[in-house]
Amino acid sequence: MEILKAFLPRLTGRQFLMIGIPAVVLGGGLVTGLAVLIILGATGATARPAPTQPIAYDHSLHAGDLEIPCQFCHRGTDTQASATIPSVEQCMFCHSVVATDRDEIKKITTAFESNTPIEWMRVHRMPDHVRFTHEAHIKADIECSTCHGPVEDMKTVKQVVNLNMGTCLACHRDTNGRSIGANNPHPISVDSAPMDCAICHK
Amino acid sequence: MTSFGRRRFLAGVAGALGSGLVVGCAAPERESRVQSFVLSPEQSLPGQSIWFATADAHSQGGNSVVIRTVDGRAKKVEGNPAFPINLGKTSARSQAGVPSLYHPDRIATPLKRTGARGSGEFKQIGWDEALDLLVDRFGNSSNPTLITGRVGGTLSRVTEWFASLTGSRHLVHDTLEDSTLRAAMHNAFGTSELPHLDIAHSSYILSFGADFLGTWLSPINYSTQYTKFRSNTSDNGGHRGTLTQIEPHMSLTGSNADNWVHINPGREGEVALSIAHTIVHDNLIDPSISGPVLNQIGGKSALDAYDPKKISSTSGVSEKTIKEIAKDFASHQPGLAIAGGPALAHTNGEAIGTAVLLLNRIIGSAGSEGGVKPNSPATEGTPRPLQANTFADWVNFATEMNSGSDSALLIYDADPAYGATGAAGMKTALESASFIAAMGPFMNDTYATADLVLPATHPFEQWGDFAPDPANGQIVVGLQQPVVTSLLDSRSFGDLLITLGSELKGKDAFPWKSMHEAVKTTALSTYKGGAEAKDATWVELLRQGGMWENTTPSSFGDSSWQISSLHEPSFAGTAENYNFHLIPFETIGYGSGDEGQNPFLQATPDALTTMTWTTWVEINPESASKLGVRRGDIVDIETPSGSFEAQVYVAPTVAPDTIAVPIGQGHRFGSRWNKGRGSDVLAFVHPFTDTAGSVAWAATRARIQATGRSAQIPAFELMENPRNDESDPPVRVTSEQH
Repeated sequence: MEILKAFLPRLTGRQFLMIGIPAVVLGGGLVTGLAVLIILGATGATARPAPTQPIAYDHSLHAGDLEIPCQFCHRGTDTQASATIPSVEQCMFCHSVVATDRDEIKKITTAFESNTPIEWMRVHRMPDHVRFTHEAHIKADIECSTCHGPVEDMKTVKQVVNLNMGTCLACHRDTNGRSIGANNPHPISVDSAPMDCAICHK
Repeated sequence: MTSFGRRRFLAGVAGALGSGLVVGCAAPERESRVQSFVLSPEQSLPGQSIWFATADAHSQGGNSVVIRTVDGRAKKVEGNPAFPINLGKTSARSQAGVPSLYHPDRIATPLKRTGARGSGEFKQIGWDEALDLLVDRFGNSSNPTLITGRVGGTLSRVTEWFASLTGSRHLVHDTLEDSTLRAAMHNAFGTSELPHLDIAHSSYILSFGADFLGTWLSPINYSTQYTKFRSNTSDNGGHRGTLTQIEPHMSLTGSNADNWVHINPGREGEVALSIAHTIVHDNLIDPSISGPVLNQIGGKSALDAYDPKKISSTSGVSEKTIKEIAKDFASHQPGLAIAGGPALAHTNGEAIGTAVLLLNRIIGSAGSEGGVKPNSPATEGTPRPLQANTFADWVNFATEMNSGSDSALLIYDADPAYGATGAAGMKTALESASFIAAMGPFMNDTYATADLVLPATHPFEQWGDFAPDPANGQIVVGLQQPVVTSLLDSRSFGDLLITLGSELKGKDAFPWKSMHEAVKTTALSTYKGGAEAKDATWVELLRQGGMWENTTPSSFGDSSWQISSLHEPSFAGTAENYNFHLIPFETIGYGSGDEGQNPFLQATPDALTTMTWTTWVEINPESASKLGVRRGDIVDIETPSGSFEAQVYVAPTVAPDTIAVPIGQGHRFGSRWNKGRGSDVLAFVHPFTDTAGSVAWAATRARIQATGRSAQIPAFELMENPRNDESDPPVRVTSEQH
């Protein structure tokens, strides 16, 4: 204490307020913010609500009632890093004849005929410093719902799994020691889910 | 009411900041928007690079490139390493392919003229209306004329088919056409084909004005060969080759030369024959080698008029220099002698070219390894680019049009209203045409006079094939495939001709339904296997970018020229009234002006001066001092044909009695980047022709007058020196030296 006093100058009441108030405000803000982030992360809750999409596409109808496989629309997830947003042309494969009189379908028809892309709102997004590859996970028979939740029950898709590093690592740890990819013609061997930092942070 | 104390205030502020931190950490909404394709690109793998081999339509000579595409968009051009002409290399013009593809000023839809002809005022229309107009006005014309650039391969066959189907005349335009070189080749070697230069195996290159590393014929191929020429490999006899460049204005090739020799314009033929005189009279070559060709061209005595002593005063090249060059050239075998650029752009250009090319025969290297060789043949299905009509042809055509010929024109990839042909009558001739339809990716001076302008696909968006000219001694066919889908309402010229021909003459008028079918049929014409293997072969050909095979070398014919044919050059303007030789030259960026709409090429620095974006005039320091002008001053350059402005660049690249001005600016219509920029120097050269019919664009004299204005000079080298204070040039060329 004596040492601290030796280094600290004697402050007047006014000086104390000028330095103390900003210190308390900034410090308090930082602590509160971090606490909120930690609590959200620990509970697995996501910060963002379901975004409003330009067309009220119903996953529970297409993937649920009609049982259309995810990869019918989201093509290439088993061959490449990115999941794909279906082209307007792909919607028109069916909707050039199916339910053409509905308002939401008319929006697709208009976009197709006017050669205008549809601006969807992204639901899931990995940070820029993470390299996530769909191909490896789909080939290892990881269900889409493991990360994306029960999409077949969702009228509007919302992020339900908090895809932070803890989620990834927990799954990679659990996978090790277990046989995965039983339905895959080239099953992934046990202990193959890598734990190296550089696998995701290239 | 509860009191709101200091502590509660501080706690509230801290909480609000915390919440703000959480919200602030979230990505902004704009980053969450993702656009879906309307039509999914073919073979697209989202986020993955896909490479397609196709033609490099922007560079010279006929090269192949591979283009990286991502999500259906072209991203980057690389050389095709398998293609034998460019061996994986590219040029600045190749790299400009992507900016040109996504250029904001590309013609997007068919346009119909609304204002007066030449006003450049149009309205957008649909293809149906455009085709109706074409059928009505061009198809039913009694005097239809096709004007194209130097189309080649299957497209040239489709074009010729259309011309014969509709009874159209076909004229081919090229701003700097090569008729003079072809005539010289015919005189010297009995063939009108361009030469195949075996630079890689040569020991000595004697070049008269041919900027083969920059802009002449096939510079990418020559540059790749040049690296071997300059290395101590077994290719060139184990020693580094020597380059001597003789020219009135230093080119990129000249700056690489071991010996750069200034020559007075139009005197290249005299110096070539003077070198021949030294070789023959000093017995530098076995007379059994030089004798036969000398007998064909007038005998040893015909060279007597070209004794180096007599030639040095007119040519500006000293006797000592001529003798040294002759000795070096004869003693470093194999060697090759070439002429191009300003050396051939004189009233005696054909004779100059012939005299230079005959040096190859005198030293015995013509047709052999390391020398000038005959071009290898092209295939029947994929001919070389058509030879352009001469300047004389265009003058005749303009005269005919101006005298009231009721002609309907369909123009593709040509701008005859620009440059020398424009000034020689084509600009006014176009105004008198009964109907003009023009097709291309960009607006230009000619298209602005059209009644109907049609959007053409970019070379990266269309099917085609090409035969490099000159080739490398092999039979080579390159393939062109669409690497991306066009974002515009454009069509390829070949497909337009097939559609139009079918409309006019019935659906079976053409043997092909589309350019795709025509190119594929041509490529597989010699294929004999089953359908499945045929498709696999086609895919493999597209993957490698074409096909090529070795062939038996052909030989040159006899010479049909006499030394006495070399006559004195003529110049427009007397030396008293016009004290400078004006040497226009081509730059590595926008070339002869065809690529000026591209900002990437406008900003590509000239190889020697590093100038960009403008028309400049290179003036020797001695002359600049006499004129009282400095770098950056705007001067008025007057020739007997008129005057134009240029910005001064003081440089030792020209002699005191010579000025050099780049070709390619001064377009009245074009993109936002070249419209109204700089001056069109070719419009101010005197319309002389040489015996081959080409315009003698280096045979005009000029005088210079300062305007009193000055401007910041857009030179890349001066970016860190905004004051433009002139440092001493590293080399000084003065009149005393020659």
